[in-house]
Amino acid sequence: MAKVLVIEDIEAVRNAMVAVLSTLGGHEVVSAGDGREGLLLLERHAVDLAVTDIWMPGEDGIAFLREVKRRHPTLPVVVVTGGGPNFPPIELSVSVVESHGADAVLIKPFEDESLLAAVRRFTPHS
Amino acid sequence: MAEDRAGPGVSPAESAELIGHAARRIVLTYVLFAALWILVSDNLLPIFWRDPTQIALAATLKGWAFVGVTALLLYGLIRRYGAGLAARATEARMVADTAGDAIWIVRADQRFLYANPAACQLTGYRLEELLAMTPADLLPAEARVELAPHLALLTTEEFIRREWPLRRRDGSVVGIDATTQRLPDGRYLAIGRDLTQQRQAQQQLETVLHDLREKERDLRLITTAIADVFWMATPDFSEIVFVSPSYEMLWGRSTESLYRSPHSWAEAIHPEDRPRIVAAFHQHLGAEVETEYRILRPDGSLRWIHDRGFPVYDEAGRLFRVAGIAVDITERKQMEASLSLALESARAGAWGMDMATGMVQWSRQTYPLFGFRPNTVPGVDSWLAAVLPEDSQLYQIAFDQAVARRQEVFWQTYRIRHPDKGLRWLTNRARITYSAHGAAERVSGINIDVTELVETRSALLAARQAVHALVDASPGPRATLGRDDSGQFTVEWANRPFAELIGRPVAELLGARFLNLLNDLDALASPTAIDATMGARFDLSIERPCGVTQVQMLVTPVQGVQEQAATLLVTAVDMTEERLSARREAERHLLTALGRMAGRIAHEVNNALQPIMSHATLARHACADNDQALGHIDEIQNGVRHGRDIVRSVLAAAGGQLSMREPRLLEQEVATALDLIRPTAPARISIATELEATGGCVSLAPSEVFQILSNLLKNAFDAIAGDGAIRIATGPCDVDLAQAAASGLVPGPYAQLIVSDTGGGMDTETLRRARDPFFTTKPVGGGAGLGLATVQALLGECGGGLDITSAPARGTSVRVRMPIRQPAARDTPPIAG
Repeated sequence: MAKVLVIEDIEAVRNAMVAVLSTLGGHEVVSAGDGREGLLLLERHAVDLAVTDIWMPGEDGIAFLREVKRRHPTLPVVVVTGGGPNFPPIELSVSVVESHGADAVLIKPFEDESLLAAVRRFTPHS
Repeated sequence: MAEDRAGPGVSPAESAELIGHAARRIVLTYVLFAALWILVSDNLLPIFWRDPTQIALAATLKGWAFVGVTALLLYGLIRRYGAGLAARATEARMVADTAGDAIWIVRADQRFLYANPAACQLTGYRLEELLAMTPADLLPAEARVELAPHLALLTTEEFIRREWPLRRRDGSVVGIDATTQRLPDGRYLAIGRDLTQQRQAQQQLETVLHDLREKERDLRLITTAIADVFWMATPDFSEIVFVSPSYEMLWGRSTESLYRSPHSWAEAIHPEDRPRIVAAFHQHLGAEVETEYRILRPDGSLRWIHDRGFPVYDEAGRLFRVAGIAVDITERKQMEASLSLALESARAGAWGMDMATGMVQWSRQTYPLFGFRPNTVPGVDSWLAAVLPEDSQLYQIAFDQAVARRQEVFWQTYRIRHPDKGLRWLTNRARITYSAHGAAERVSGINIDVTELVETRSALLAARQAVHALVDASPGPRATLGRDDSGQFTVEWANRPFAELIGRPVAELLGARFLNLLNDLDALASPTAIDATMGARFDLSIERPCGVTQVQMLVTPVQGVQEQAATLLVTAVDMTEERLSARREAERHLLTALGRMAGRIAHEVNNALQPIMSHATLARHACADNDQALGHIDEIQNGVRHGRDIVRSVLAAAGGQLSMREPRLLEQEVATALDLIRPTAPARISIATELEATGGCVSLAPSEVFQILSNLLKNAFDAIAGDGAIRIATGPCDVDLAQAAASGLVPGPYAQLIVSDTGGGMDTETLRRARDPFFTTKPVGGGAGLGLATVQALLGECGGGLDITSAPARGTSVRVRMPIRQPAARDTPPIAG
């Protein structure tokens, strides 16, 4: 059991990830609609792992990632991305996200098992 | 024989007449003499003698004297008239013998008494043979029957003239025209003429007359067709013998009026010319007269006539007629007047010189042209006094050469010292006429003052030379254009770069037609015209062994050079790199837009698919026992995966273009990558760019540039703890041998990218290890330590290198160098930062 923070601007996607993580993974899940809200939740909750989208209105995933890695360098962050207007090649998206310290990158639509496996991998003690 | 002797010479009637006449003269003379003798002697006797005895004796002596004197007188008279008769008879015989016509005398018994030689010739018989014949023997059988009635008719008719057939001795029959008459003594006289000859002669005459009529008709046709007026008159002009119909056209009066009034041609002459012309024609009778005069036509118009009259002599050498040809020279006169006006307007001085006599004529414009005084005598000496000595020598040499070459036109420019205007330039254009032997007979020409023209040309030449010097000094391809005689633009001057661009030696370009050159270079461009005042611009694609070169030719009029000189400056700009860059830029924009659109679609679709996938996973969990539902869920998830694959293939297609390694300008690729990375930069860090042109293309894929730049920037972002600045610069860079030895790069031109930050910098040890893979100074999760290693690896692949300058608290500067694979065009504008 781990405590997972999910940051995703699209409600349907967010709800689906929350449902998978909680129902199938049995994890405790908190969720936010953008990076800024996610940072606030991090302050309030002892989160074991963060799952974040990249391209979001407001504070986007890169900024969140950079800030999280600054504030909580050991917190594993799994990035989920469906690509975006500024990073056409998925490979480049992965590259840039990794270069900013992401621990894993999942390309939407990903297999839910991949998400659950990433959580298990980065939270072995949970 | 007495008849023979008397016969042919004088006829009996004539003899009787002659004798009668002589008898009357003798008797009359006797009566006169006797009467006078008696009258005078009877009256004289009483004067000398008074004595009757003496008177009686004197009367007796007077009577005997009378007998003696009258006897002598009679003897003399009779002798004189007898000799006359004999002479007349001989003359008549000679006339008959020598007559051209045949003459016969026929006795009353029908035998020939006499036949003259012409009769013998006509009949073919000798005289002896004829004298044994009768006229009937000379007639064909059918004509003989007419002889008797004819002779009978002659008893009543004085003479009869008719045609007779005559059978000649050789049997041939000829027609003769014969006149016959019966003489008082019963003999017959016949005179005949051969009609054959007469008819031949008549035929010949008719032929001659026919020819004459034909010739006259031809002459009339000619004179009608020709506009010139032929005329012929009696020497005193009292009668016009002939005038051609063209007189009516030229004089505007009818030929009838001229025939009627022979002096009317002169009445038409202009009053000012008339006395001179009339005098010329009357005073020079027997000589050729050549005149020019004006005539006034009835409609008031004026025509100029050239009239050449000449005498016509008869066979005896007497002046018989005066003839002439009058030609309308009005147009020539008008041309002469126009020419004279033109010469005056052009201030041109006309001159002529007879080479044999050295006589020179000048037109009046010559005087002001040379500054001659009005009393200056036209001549070579006067001219030589005005011309500069060195120029007169050159003139003479040029003239001699022209004559030696039999040139008809001679052209020479020379200088004179004008008394008022100083040094002037004159150009002389002359025409030389030669004799049949090739000697120059006459030279005539015009002199024109061309000083202004020469000065203008000098100025123009200087201006052109200045332009040529400019062209020579120009580093880029430059040329000037002039115009040839046909108005075509030709290359006047060209520098070496221009010749290299065209692909021909400079010498081959000079004088070549510019548009032809362009057509040879690029037939598709088909440049057709150049506006001498506006210039032109031609875009050419020139095929060269190394590829197609795009060239823009700008043709501009040269300021300060006279317009008529039409000097144009051609500047060629190699547009190859500009065009390629522009195309790549357009492609880049297109791909970027395409990529962004694909990315946006992928983002939206992927985000739409993700909930379906996740809810399907949840549904699978919820319906674990329901195989049918699980089957449906499988289908849903397969559908989602299929959709995901489609989206990824679209993204791959869009992004694949960015992975192609080909010649690209580093500064442009950096600008593109920066567009993508800049939004990820922390707000506390400012980014400044100085993207200077690197001077050529490097061989890299856009994704590689992106990776290089994003890694370098990531390090820079991390190096700056608080607020800071990053500077991104591009530019050209040469690696010499020394640098090459130190860096391991190949010497040559490179493009460089420098990313410097105001961050904490590195100490020597960190700097030494900075490029090592997995070396990182960042905390766990701050990065894998592969950034600079990745950059180093990419640069190694394209022959580039990386060097880092850093010191603690002084920031870090990373320089990336990539070899230039393809030079860019000069003057490529820098990309705004």
